[in-house]
Amino acid sequence: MTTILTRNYDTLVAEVKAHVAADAIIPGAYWNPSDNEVGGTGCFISCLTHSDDPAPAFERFGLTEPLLRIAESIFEALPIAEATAFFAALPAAVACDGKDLSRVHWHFLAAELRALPAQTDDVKAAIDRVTVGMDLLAKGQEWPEAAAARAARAASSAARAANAAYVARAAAYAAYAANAAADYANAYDAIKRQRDTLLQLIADAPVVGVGA
Amino acid sequence: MSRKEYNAEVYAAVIDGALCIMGCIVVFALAISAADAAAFSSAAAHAASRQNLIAALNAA
Repeated sequence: MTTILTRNYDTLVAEVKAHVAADAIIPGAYWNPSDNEVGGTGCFISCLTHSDDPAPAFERFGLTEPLLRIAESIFEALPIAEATAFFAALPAAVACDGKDLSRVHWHFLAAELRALPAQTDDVKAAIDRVTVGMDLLAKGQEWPEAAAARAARAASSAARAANAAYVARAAAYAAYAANAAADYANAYDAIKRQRDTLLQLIADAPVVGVGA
Repeated sequence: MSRKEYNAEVYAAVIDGALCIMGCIVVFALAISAADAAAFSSAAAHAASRQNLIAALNAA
């Protein structure tokens, strides 16, 4: 896949600043034209592209589509003030032209797999296979399609088996419900961790060229 | 349809699917059940598999 480095950094800084100043950052909807200073309101992706298509942000700024999809998911889960702050923090994380963001999403997925709570041995084994693959991709190495597909099938089987175990044990439902409630309470912390992880990975991405 | 046009169509379908999975897995990551944890890792591996397919199509 063609690697496009970060570019037009000064424009990114100016446009993000203008959208924040215009109170144009609105979670929950793609670009909605209006007569404010930037011509409308919208979510993370649409404030960068004035559309529902992330591709222009890749072409103009070198922000990859997987990175933007992940950012959008985090953005939509944050309270509006923090969602705006997250969007506003993007240029500082990018920091310059010439940065390669093409592997940030693999780093992010590996970090999230490692952040999952402790699992049974079978499930852990399936997850560990995928973590190994994510680490390879994050380092720019190959994870062959067949190996990735086998790992996906193994993890999917583990998911089905774990789900069947829950169905077989009614008591587990009560435990799961209790855990789910606790998880909901912890969801905000998880989203903040994901936000911080993504911004740090963007900041740490290598500068390898001039971004032309 | 030419081979090039066919590859372009497959490419678009594959990358849309991979991006959709990537967008969803952030939500999966919040869940704590073993089934969801395994499903999350499966989605990540699927995305990786699809990216390799995209690279192969581009090289064709």
